[in-house]
Amino acid sequence: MSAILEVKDLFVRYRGRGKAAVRAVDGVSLSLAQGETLGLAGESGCGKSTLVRAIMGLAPVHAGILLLNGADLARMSAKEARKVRFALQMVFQDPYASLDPSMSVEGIVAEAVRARGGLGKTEVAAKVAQALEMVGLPPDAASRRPHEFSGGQRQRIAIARAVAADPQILLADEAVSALDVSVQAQILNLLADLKARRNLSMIFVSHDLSVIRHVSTRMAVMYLGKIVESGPTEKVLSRPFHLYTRALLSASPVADPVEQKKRLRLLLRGEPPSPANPPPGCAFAWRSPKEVPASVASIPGRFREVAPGHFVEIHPATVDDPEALHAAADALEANRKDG
Amino acid sequence: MLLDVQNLHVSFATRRGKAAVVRGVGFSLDAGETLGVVGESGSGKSVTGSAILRILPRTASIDEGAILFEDRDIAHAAEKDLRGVRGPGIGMVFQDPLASLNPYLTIGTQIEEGLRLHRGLSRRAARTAALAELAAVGLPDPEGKIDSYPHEFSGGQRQRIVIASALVLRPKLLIADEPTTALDVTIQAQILDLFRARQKELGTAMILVTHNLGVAATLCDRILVMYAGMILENGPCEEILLRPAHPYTAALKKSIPAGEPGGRLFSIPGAPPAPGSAPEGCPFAPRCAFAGKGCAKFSQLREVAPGHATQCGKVLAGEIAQEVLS
Repeated sequence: MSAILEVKDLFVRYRGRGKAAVRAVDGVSLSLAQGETLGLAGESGCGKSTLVRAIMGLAPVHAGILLLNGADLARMSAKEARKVRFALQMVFQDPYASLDPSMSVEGIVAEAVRARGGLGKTEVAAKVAQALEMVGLPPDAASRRPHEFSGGQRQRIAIARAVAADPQILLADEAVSALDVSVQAQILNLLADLKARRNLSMIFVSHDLSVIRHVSTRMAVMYLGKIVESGPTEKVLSRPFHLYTRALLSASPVADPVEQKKRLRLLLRGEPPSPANPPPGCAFAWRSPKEVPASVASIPGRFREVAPGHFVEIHPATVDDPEALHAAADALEANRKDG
Repeated sequence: MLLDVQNLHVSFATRRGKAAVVRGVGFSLDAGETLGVVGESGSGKSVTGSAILRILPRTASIDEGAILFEDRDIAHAAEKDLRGVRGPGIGMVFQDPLASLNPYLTIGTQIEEGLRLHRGLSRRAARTAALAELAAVGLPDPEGKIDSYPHEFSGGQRQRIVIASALVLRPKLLIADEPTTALDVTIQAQILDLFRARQKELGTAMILVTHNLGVAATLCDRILVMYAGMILENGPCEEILLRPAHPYTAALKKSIPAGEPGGRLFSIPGAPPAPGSAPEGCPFAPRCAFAGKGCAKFSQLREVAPGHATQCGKVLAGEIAQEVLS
């Protein structure tokens, strides 16, 4: 499997006025294979949205490598990067804010097609019509304006705009979070269809683990600017090692009162620390249900592969049995060297 | 019976005339009970909650019906008569805690104000009660934080403060409209736990308005399912979620991604009707897989099992077996 997108040691920092820099993304590495959907989970402020924005060129990259088809976006001139970034298209959470209210639907989608350049008027029109049809909008939608549509239909317009530019990768940032559950199902089905028809790769950001489980084959959990656990989605969600992943799972309510009563509740202490002033060492130690002395908390954890493709931040505060996981990681490493 | 809502009709004045958004809603609530009002956007669930609190926007009006709170009809009560109800009788918590907190006053001042006004407490007694309630809702360091302003707190802490300012007056009923929707799941879990613990201790009844069936499953004794301004189903939490007796409830539950990953999700075709343009008869019929001729006529809510009522004429007539919906 060759990676279509590779992110290595990416740092994104925002400068506050005279204050310490906000470390929104603090050393993240990930890769996306052709045709794969990668789920990105975490709570507000964890940096998951900033990460996809940085990939799109919408957030300031402080350091790191962003390889798109092997070429480093972070080292290109703005002009060069603009040319290749068409391969990346994004769908945002709020379909009310992401569409220009003064433009017709046709105009919105055509703008994205024209931005790629090299197409004549009739070709642009054909691509627009094709995109609208593909997302299931009625033919008369083209001449109407966004406000005439419901939230779900608007999200279809946003998706039409994204796919009309023939992207290789679709970045969906909480793309179904603002939608009602019945509409959410329609949009998730639509994205699955498009992905198959257009052979798209996807990064799907969501705070909702049931959505992540449904759409992705591999996932990463972020906490305070860092990935704390990643791996095959089924493995991560059925047997999470990191206590944060477990807490997220146990906090997601299910629509079954019997099941809900039986579930183990793993409550975290307090609230996430601020990325402007992260605690030293292991940032999760301050919220972990497993309390550790400050001297232990201030030592950073190690992010290691503990089972094939399954990585976790190992620290006394983050996992049940750090020694066993270190041993598993050592064994895996030794095995790789021998093989 | 603490609350008895009868045949409630609420409409909004629009440029195109009146749009009916709550259309004949009726239900009752016992002391200490938690009732979930679930539905999607535009179902009328929030407007129902606002109508009970009598905090509807100016363009809305209660056209018909009664809202009996402790046997007194407050549907058309004068504003001055509502002062003793809102706050000490019925407390409120909304999605956005900043909407219920005054940014210019310290949280202590705001909580104490209610106590002095409604409970006639002295300044000192009010402060003691406010501190105790802030501690009870789990705000860290209440003594050090009581003189802080709302913006100095995180979203989760603000929601704790709003809950404290509502519960400190010991209302019989709390109306919570999407109280955890804006919060992260780990904070949501903390707040849901808090509601449960405080309710258990104080015996407060609650109406929880939510779009999230999982949140409803966590807290509610009973659930009302609303659609296009009407109640489609009303019953015990477990019955509604595990043995639904309305195709809409069943479809809503089936739309939640839970099955095998990557598979096709069940989705309800079409979209809910715009306010004021619901069809005659069962409002869900145009999107319902089971709809037939009889659905053009609206059926009244009737029991299919003790305490479990549905509006679906086909379920009531035995034309849809309930197992098909579970």
